[in-house]
Amino acid sequence: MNRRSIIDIMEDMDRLEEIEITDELADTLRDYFKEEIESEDLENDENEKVAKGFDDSFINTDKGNAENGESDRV
Amino acid sequence: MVNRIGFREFLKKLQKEQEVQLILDANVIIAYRDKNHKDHDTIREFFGGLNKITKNVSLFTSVTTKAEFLEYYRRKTITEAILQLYKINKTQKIISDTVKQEIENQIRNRNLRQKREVEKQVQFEKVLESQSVDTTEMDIEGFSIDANYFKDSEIKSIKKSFRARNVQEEKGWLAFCSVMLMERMHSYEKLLDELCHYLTSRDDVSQKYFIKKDVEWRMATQICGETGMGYSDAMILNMANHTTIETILTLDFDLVYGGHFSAMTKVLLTPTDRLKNYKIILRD
Repeated sequence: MNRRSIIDIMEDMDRLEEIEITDELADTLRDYFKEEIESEDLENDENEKVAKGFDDSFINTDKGNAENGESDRV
Repeated sequence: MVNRIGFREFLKKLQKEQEVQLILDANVIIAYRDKNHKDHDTIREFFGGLNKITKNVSLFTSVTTKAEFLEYYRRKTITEAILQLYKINKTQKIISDTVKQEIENQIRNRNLRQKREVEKQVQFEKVLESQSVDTTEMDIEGFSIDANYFKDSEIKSIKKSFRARNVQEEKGWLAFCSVMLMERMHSYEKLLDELCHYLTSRDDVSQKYFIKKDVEWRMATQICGETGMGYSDAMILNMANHTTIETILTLDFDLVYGGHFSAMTKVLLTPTDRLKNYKIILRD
């Protein structure tokens, strides 16, 4: 009933189990998610700017003279 | 009467080019295919040994087994493809952060499941060792490789997350399935059809193996009720009882146990190392 050997059929099955995301699929998905990715990147840039803004606010802090026992002015 | 035999004894008794007919359950095919399955090497060795003695081998199974196997293959393929997609996305952004986060959620669920499986196995071994049982000799059936693959509900969650904002058509997930799953499933099914013949009383080829013209399906319910085995396993035993095919190849304790009571004219063929366990439970 089985013309090909079990081993040969199983070897063909082995070949089917090689999984690879093709460049074409990657391009399709990138294109599909383009708007959302751009929106997320924009949001991340804004968040980064805000975070840097908070850091900048401490740059002009007056530093007290530690030798004189003065603390920093906030 | 003992109606089970180990792989080693079975192969020893075979004559060169002897005709062999085996009914398989889904676990046998899964173990052969999946290198993560603990019986993978055992099953491969068995078929390698069988191939050396005889090429005259016919494999049979039920359509339920086919469905079980293709479902396992679907989950395995989708899991591996999603994980690869996640990996590639780390170096070249392909998917949105929403999808990425959903995949991460499901990877965490899966990893937790795997950890629990390993802990279950370790606990079971500790209990046996505390009873002075040498676990290096025993074949513990604890770990389920099923834990390696996303559950259906986890795949659904990832699928839902693929819907990108303001996109009317679901091209993302459809493209993913089209490339990663569709052709593979068709090819795999074709090879499975070539590997095994599906026993059915309506098929001209199967007819010659059936003792009676019609299968009494309610007998599967009887078998299920007798020992509490899974219904798809009960269907395999019931099918076997209606045919002239003598031997059922299985890795499943339920089938060996159930076969002892509900399929006494059949021989349950199972790994030799398992027989010791069964002898403790089925004293004869």
